[in-house]
Amino acid sequence: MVMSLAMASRSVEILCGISLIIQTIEFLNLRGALSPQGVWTYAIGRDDLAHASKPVQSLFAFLAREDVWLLHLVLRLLAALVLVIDGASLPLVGFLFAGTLVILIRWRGAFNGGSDFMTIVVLSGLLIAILVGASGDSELGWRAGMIYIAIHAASSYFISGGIKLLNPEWRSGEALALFLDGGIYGPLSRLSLYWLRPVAMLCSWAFIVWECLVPLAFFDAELAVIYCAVAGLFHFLVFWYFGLNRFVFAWLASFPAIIYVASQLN
Amino acid sequence: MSVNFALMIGYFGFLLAALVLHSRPVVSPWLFLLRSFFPNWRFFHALGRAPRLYYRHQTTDAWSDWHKFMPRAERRWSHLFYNAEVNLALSEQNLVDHLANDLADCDDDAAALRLVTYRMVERLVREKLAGYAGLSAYQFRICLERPGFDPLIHAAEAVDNLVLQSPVMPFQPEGR
Repeated sequence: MVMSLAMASRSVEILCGISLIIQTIEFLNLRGALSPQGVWTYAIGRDDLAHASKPVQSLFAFLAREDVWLLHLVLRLLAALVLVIDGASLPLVGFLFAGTLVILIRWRGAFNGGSDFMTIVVLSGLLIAILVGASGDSELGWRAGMIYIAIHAASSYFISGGIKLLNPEWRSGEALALFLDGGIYGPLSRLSLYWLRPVAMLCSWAFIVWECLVPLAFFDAELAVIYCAVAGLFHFLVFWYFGLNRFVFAWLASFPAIIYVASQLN
Repeated sequence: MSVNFALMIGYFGFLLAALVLHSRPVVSPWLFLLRSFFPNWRFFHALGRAPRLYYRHQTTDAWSDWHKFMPRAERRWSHLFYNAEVNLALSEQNLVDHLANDLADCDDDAAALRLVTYRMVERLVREKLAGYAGLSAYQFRICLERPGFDPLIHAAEAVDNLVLQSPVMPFQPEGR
């Protein structure tokens, strides 16, 4: 199975756009937390930028105004829709990239952790594709962008699995049950199977091995498809147990790049 | 093709070495705000002791028990496509985590009260208390707790867990 560059790049655009739409609708409904009455009020948050120059402080003070923030999010929603329907362009991706940066700084560097990181990775990949393509070789640009996204996505699984492999609490299964118990949809029922050490150990090892084996996905395009299918299930489970819905869509946007790079290597 | 695979194996070997070798964290205000550009993929990496927020309130002369802030929600399928409240609750817990980190680097009590994270957590507590009637004062504290810790069962351990106890503050709901 081979994924063409055109199919991969278009798939990344559509999936990234859907991910941004979901995130932006959530941000639109979380403006209260950033309002003058909210926990993340700029009256306090501006002190995070005390080290910045006066023009930068003034710029962020302007962007943090409630009316400007609302306008930004509405434009971001429209830009994400255009990305899905019409594909990437420099002004569009540049705006989405810069906007993501502003939003994350407003939320003190990250709002949702890993999904923010992967959103930046995919938008960076799109930006690389367009900027390199602007030199005249559009195909080279898209190839570079896909490789960039694939490397980061593969690294995310490998590091996440590797760090668990090195941790005895993960290897014994203890960590899984306790993280699930402390999760947003916890606590685990006393009758939950995850409290049984063999079950927890089996589940932990299944994910550790699967994450650490991500390099294998690049040895065969069909293996890459299977790997990404399991990854989709994995991210759904992370959503189901920890409420991290944004992770599902942020990582989905990287899968076409993994499959494309695997296709090219074989 | 063999060069590609050699590069790939070399890259994952480098990642593995980076996991095993300990590195010194780089600290900078801009790096903190721009940390999404330097992805940290070490999700749920170790159990450790997690920072937990407790708060209590006073009505007339009586203090309530300490309430533990533990983000919890009811699971729904629709949350896959829209989960703003849960994501906000997770961000609130992250804020508590960042306050605990900031406190670890802060050896001056007066400076702690000026921390961005301290002032935000103070607001968070006021927000959580906004629904209570007749409040006159409130107080909060941060404790480092191992997973499965229960203050009722492990009472002796609770004292060692305390990393911050705020002064008693008069209650004034935000924006009133």
